[in-house]
Amino acid sequence: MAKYIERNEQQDGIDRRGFLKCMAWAGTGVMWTVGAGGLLSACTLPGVGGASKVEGFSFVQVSDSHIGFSAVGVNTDVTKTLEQVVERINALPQQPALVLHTGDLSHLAKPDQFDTVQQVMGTIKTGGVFYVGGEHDVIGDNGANFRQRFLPKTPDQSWYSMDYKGVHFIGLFNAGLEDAFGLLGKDQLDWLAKDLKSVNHDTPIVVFAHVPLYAVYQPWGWYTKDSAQALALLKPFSAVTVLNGHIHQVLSQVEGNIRFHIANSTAFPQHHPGDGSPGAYKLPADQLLRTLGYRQITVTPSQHELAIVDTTLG
Amino acid sequence: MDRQRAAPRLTRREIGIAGLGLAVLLAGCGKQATADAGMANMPGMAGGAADAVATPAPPAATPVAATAVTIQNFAFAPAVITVPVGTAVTWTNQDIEQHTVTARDKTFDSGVLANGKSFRFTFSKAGTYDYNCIIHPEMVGRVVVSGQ
Repeated sequence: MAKYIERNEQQDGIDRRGFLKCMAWAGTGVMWTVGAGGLLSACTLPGVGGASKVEGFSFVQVSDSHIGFSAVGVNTDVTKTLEQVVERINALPQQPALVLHTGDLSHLAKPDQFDTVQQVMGTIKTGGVFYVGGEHDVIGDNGANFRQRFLPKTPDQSWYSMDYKGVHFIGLFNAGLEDAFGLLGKDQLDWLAKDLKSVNHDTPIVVFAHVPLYAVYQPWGWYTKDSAQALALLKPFSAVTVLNGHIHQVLSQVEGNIRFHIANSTAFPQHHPGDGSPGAYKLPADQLLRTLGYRQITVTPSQHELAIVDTTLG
Repeated sequence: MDRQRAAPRLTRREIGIAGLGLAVLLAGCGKQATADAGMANMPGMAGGAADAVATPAPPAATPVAATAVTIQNFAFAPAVITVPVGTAVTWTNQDIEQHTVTARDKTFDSGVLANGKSFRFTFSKAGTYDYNCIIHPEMVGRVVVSGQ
């Protein structure tokens, strides 16, 4: 890894083609890089795992962009509101080391909707953009197109992990359709158990997935049916942060060593749990932006709890 | 820049109640077969009969003789209808969000229905047809088709 920067088109010190060589995304043998247009690719590294000393950095969570959604009285231009979020991220005093998108990139998993997502997300000034799928991203083909576009080197698997500056990141998929909705499944849980075996218990862990991993509200399906098995695997670790989306509102919960944080959408709000019915609702135009936004997360050495700031557009 | 939205309204007590709801939901679920075996077996996709912790419970509503079902507020209404063989049933989505009307056994599937769109299916065989929205599987309905 002698050569870290090969190209620097945006004059920001980030080499979007040679990224593989400048950052050690080395979790469980998978190393990620950002290709042209923000596409991710991965390669396998032998014998790399665990995490090193924690260094300070910040990253951003974006969620539920629902590109393709349009409803009069709610939001008729979800691309514009995503672009507004990107503008805010690009104006941050400290450029995020990475960006996590926690699913429902698109509304109906249409190719043109994914095109727009890639185009807009690709303009974020960051080291890498990492995705997990939502149920809206797997409509029609069970996520094949989503994985091909957003997880191109692991098209047969919707979950992965990576290490960055002493933090272990785990992207999970719990948003299949019908019976697979809100379910991690045995294969993924087995993988998670194996993945965590190589991680020191003092290593801060960030889990990101679309559907909440704690029981927010079962009648609306706002929970993961087999999350208890995943959380049991995470229990031995001293600091676990779980980032979710799906419910289009900020919500937090602490359970022992695990801190759950659910993010706003960039597209439209949903009702509070149990208040009426789930889904989008109409609201005055001047109030929409107050419900949309992104989240900035800061990692500070020697502090297990990550600093989280949710910012809205209005 | 507004950096903080209103605090979420869900209290710890409500979360506790929601937790109880899970137990009730699990207890109330029969062992339904996994309908979409193709998806369940797909690499990387969560699913499979062995993984199915809970499937949407059949609606407990009282059956109603009707040929039109409204999709509104993330629910099918009436949730359970009875029709004679040969009857066409129409579902109309009145929600802002898209939904599907998809039989568990895939006898019928509306595809994605936008706001204001309808789906019509004629039942040519007697039987009980459970269906849901594949995007929002907590939305469940049933059509009971009686013989000649």
